Amino acid sequence: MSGRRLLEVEDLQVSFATSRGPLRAVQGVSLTLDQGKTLGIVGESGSGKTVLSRAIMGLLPLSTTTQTGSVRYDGTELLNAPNNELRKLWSTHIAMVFQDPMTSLNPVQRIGNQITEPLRIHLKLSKSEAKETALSLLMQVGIPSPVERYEAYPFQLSGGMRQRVMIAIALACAPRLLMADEPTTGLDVTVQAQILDLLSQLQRDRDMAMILVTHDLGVVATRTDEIIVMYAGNVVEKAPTNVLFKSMAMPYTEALLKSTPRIAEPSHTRLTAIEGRPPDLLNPPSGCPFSPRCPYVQDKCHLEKPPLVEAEPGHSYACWFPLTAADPAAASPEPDPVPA
Amino acid sequence: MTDTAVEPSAVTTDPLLSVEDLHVSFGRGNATVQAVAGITFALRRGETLGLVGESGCGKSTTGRAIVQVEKATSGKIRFGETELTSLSRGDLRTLRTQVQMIFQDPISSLNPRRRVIDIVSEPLTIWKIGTKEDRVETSRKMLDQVGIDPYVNGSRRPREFSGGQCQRISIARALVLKPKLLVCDEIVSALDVSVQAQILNLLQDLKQEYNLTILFIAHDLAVVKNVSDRVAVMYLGRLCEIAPSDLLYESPAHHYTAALLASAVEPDPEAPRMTAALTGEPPSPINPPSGCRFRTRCPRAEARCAEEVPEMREIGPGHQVACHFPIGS
Repeated sequence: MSGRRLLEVEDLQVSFATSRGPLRAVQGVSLTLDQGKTLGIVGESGSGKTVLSRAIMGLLPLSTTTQTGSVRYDGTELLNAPNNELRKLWSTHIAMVFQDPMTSLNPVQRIGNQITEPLRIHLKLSKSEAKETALSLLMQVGIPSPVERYEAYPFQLSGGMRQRVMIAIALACAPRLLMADEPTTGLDVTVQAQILDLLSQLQRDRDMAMILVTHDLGVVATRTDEIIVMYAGNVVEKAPTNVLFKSMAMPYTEALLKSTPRIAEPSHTRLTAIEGRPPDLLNPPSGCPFSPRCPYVQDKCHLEKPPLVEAEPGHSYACWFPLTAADPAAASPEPDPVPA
Repeated sequence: MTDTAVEPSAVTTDPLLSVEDLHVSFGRGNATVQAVAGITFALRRGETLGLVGESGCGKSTTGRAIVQVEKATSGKIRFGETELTSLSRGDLRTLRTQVQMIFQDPISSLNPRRRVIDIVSEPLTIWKIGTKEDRVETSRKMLDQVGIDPYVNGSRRPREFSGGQCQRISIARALVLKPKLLVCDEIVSALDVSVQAQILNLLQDLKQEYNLTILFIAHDLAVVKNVSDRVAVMYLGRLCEIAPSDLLYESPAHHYTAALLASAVEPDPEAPRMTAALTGEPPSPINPPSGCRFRTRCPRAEARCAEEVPEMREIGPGHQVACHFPIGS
């Protein structure tokens, strides 16, 4: 079943031409993904997580972006491939669920048309076959009375329903890799739980690989096999999900976790905020990109950028003074131990 | 735990704000939306009450009705000794010095063409408090307190700031008149987690310093728990449950509260992972279910729930629930 390498990204660099010079949104990211596995990409706004996912999909405008490195899907090079090549893979091999269900659907086309379109184009189904498949897809994603919804326009559906429709469209041609960029941001918690469960279940049923891009550590904690943490265009830590939460090495990962309020903690627990804000990518700090905000910063961090090294099998991080290297009490300037 | 718990400030039983059977409806005839359909609660001096619920449950409308941005259809809102729903426009203006609101979108709630220092000092200018120099001085102090350097950044305009900084400026503007009550409507939902933590900590500090009473409206259960002394849960225009924060999250009595908690995601791979506790979505507030409004999605619903609207009743110290068959009874 799983185990087959589906996606290989090597030293992917993406920069945008701006009036103030090139903005390096993704600065050398490498990752791999096997069939049936889920990879979480976590980061705050501006960390490059969305640009990375769009670069993998080949959705960035070639006229204003420079992309180097390599993105291989099942052996085929996708980076800078012409659109007509990519179109053969989109939908049937790689599909994407976008963040904003309110604006990602075509407002003047019926839901049914939007689901049958890829079926007719890619799978060359007849009109009636496509409709049949679309109705069964609507059923699979949990839309009540699919026959009526098939004729509906997007504005007649709620946000959660629209996201289900987006998922149905993405899954229409049975892709092997699903990219989900913030699929539940903006949805209510109960709906978020439904959508995440739906994605996991469909993934299991179809043995799909999935990339889940989110800002919320809670979303990836129980639903991924591996996590990549991004900061200012760089991967700063990469580890299997359990390892990451148990023995995170990069101070940024720790800071992100500590600043997230939790239901398990008592009310009025003081949050450990990260002071300052993410760097300006047009004018990045020298050395480690997190150094201006890092509580454990030392001189070396300002001078030299730490490379991403695999310290233990599967666990890589980019830090000169990782949290797990020494006795946590000695490494920590605060008395706070890492939360269990 | 890793962090020092902040001591709750002196909370008295004497209510600063009491809301009684508040109704707010929009539209008319067949298309009347009962956004708020009869809710009653009190806000004690010095406490933070969290108001949580999903979109469309009426939590924002409740907040807006309290600051009188939205007109109450019926019901009473008492602030100290004053009845707000029947105030004249002039008296209402005076009252606004004591009741302030902070909105969700930090950037669009600031005037893009004005300098930050002017935005913060405008309330003082309107009320002609002090001389011009005093006003600038007060505003500078206020900006400094929220973490914006008034000398470096005072002359800049909102577009030059990030979302988190704009939210700091909004807080400064709301607090410059030293109000008693602050209504915060989803003030951190547009911010990144690291910035969200900064703003929540700032709010906590300012609350102590200015002795504020806060109504904190949000959809994020963890955020609400973190800032609130008590939490009220709303569903489709009505209150389901009110209890002290820790108690509510530990032993929810309303099935809706329990479902909300089960749906929340925690950044912990070992946290028990529940399957979605609720199916479907809330029914339309134009035509809400009879009896208990949650009954159509409730796992425990019986015939009685369709016939009889459950009233709020006390099931423990400070713990009220509106359910015929509360959990644990």
